[in-house]
Amino acid sequence: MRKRFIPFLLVLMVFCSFWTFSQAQAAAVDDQAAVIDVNLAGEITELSKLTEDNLGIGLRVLTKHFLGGADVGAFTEKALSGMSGNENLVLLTVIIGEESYHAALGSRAQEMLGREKVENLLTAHFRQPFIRDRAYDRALASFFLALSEQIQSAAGKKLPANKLLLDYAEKTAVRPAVTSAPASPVSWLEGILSDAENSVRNADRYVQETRQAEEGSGKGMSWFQIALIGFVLYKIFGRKKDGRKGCGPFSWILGTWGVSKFFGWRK
Amino acid sequence: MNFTARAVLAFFLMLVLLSAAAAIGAYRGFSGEKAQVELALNSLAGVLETRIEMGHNLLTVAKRHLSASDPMIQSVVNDLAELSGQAPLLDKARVNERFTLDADALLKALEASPGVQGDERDLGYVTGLLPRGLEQSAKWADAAQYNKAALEFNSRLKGQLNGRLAMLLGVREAELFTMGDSGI
Repeated sequence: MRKRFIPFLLVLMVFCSFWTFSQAQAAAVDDQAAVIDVNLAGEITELSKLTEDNLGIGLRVLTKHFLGGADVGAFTEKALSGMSGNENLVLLTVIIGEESYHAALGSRAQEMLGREKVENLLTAHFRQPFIRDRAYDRALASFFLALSEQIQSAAGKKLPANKLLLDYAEKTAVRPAVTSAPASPVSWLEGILSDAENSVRNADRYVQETRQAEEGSGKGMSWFQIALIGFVLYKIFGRKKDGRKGCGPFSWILGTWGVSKFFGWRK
Repeated sequence: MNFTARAVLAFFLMLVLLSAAAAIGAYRGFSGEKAQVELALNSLAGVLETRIEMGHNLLTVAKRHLSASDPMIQSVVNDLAELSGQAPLLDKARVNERFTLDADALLKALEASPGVQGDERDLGYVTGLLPRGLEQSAKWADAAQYNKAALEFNSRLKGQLNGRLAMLLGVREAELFTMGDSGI
């Protein structure tokens, strides 16, 4: 029994560690537009882990196709404020179809790097490959390499030797944007709406409320209640054993049923 | 006052009380149902926000390939201005129908334009994500769902004695969204 249980436990542990690792890897890049190479996303996440562990500043990327008329700056600042440990983060939002981007800095990152320097890095390393060449991988790799150097210089510490992002920063090939809609119902909407979850929620609410309005209050008397009222009325006003004239119980129940239809009291 | 007079008075009093009870019940019941219909209409506002977002997305691509003064772009701009404005929701629902037609026309014009044909990314948007997003948002903002609910309420209100009583006491029919009203 014990011999059988141990391998099972080991498999479970390996599976759990892989799952945890993959969750951690996915944390730095939220590629809702599906334009970033999967390996690059992994390298950005690794670099973010290095800068976070050694220099106290984390890196985040969010891509979308459109923002539906929302201001990219305000959207990015709001997105950053919703992230845990946001004071130590730099979030770069890239809106592919609108050809716009914005970097939001948490309070500590702002203190350490300064807004102006990050803007200069974006202009020098990100703007041209992003807008003119549409080389999204190269644009991101170049910018984050330059940013990590800036963080190291501001912190006065070096990162452990690594070759992260170097290949991507040198590549010149243009990778076209993925613009076909993926299968998942919410994920493709996330790329084109500023808050897809809220939109889905609103749509559901509209459907529910119209359905409730269509059905009405649903209050009304059941067949049993109508029969009972008819019988009580018969007992009060109906034919008596002492000879008083009047209708029998069935007539009273049928009459009550008719009146309830007339007044709309039936369920 | 003799016994008969008192009995007749009591009988009339009973009739008055019963009528009052029926009227109050009818009024309360139908007021509640009318409030639910109005709630459904208000929730349409939320889904119209998504239509506005999709309209902005379409304009972003359109302005890269057509002149901003192009009549088709102007139509969509006007529709979005009305949808985002302070007009009553039923008017917005009508504008939403017009927006569907205008957006469709603009998408077709964009797809045929040489600029979009020569731009792989924007062609993907114009033939892929944008039509699908517009279609999805149109499904969400389907005013026919509201109309069906309002029609059901109106038929209950007019088809029952209770409803007639409620109407006498001030409960009005729910407004319907009809394309013919606006001449669209």
